[in-house]
Amino acid sequence: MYETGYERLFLGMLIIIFDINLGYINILPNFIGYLFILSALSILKTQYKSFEKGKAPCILLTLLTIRDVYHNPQNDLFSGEFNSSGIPTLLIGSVITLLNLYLIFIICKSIYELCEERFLYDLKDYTKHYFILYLIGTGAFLLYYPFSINFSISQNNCFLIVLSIIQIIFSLCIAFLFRKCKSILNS
Amino acid sequence: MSIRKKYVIVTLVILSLLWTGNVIYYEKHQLKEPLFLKHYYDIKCGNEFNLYYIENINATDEVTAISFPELKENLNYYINQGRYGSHYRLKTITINCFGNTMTQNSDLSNKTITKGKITMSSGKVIEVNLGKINLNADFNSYKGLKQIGVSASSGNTGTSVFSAEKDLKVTGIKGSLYENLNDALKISINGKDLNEKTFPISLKAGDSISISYCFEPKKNDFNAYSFYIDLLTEDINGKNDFACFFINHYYQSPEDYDIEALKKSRGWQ
Repeated sequence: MYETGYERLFLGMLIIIFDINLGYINILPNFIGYLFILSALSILKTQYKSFEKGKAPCILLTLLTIRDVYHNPQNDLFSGEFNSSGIPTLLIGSVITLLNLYLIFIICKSIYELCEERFLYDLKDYTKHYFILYLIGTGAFLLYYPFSINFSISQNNCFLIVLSIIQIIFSLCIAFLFRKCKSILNS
Repeated sequence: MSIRKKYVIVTLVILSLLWTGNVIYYEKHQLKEPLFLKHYYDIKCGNEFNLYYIENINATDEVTAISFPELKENLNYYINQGRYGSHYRLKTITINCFGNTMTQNSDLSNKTITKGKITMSSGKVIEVNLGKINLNADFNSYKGLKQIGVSASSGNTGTSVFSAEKDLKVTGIKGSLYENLNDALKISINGKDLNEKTFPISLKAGDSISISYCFEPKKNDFNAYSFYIDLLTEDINGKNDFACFFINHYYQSPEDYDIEALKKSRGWQ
């Protein structure tokens, strides 16, 4: 019954993690991922009320990430090209990162409490551990952002590559946690 | 699974402090307008020459045009992207004299540029001190010595190799900037440092002569230099001629410049 909800959480996370850029357009902008998550929360709120708390940050994130449709082709981490972003862009990035962390926390906390009710201790532990990893990865980014305005391009490239790889791995853990919930918490 | 409110508040406070500190540090390093280097050049033969300036890495008000009040002619130019540092980028304006005939009758020959009028994208016009750029119309026909090899390194050293096309003597070296930069410029000929016994050097036709230089400006000298050193020659008939080799120096990364020292030297706050 709630399979669709968890499936949409999983797909939403994948869209947020990965971008496919064609010239100036990102065909997988993050706001589509947040729309998937919003739709998932609408389904899952009937399973566990706490999921509803995620709606407000999800709506805000959807609005803040609409501009992700535009991609600057000069920003290509893999070729080492990354133009310095202005302070306002980085501040907005920090806010988005914080809101995203809060959203994932609400979802993971809801799953955790649901598992506690149903005595699903393994899934409960996975949820807690994966969220802590995600928190560490996100925390590193949040600490990096203010210093990045004073780093050189080569320093920024180094930090961004390392932090991005770590964050992709931890985000994929969260995505596959949602996938696992699809089969275990589907009723 | 919960996160205590206390930790959230402490984290937000720490993040706010980090942002505030970094923004203050960033703003302290911002330039109010582009900072042009002073250029000490001797330009010959209608060549291109580069002017360098440092601007903020995220500058939105950029240099769009340059003119020289001391010249009647407008020179063609194009602005290159340049190198990036932490807060600044070093950009280049390449001034093209190809379209102008650098003959004795031209308005450009034997002129000196010290000032530039810079137009920004916002419409603001600023006058900058460019140093001293000598435009010379002298031509070197290499009748005596012909350059057969040249190398230069980013470590401010270089070598030029010449071959004598006839029997001649190298009688000395000369350059308008050479005398002023005596302490910074070390020249050696055929591996030996210059001294009062170096000249004259006799060469038979086909002999080669190698001139090496090491250019080490003083510690806070961030000027750009580009000049020729003339090798003075005299053939067996007593006819004087010269061959020239080229020395070019500027710090290529904006990180190499002491921006505070440069600002102070311009009288900026």
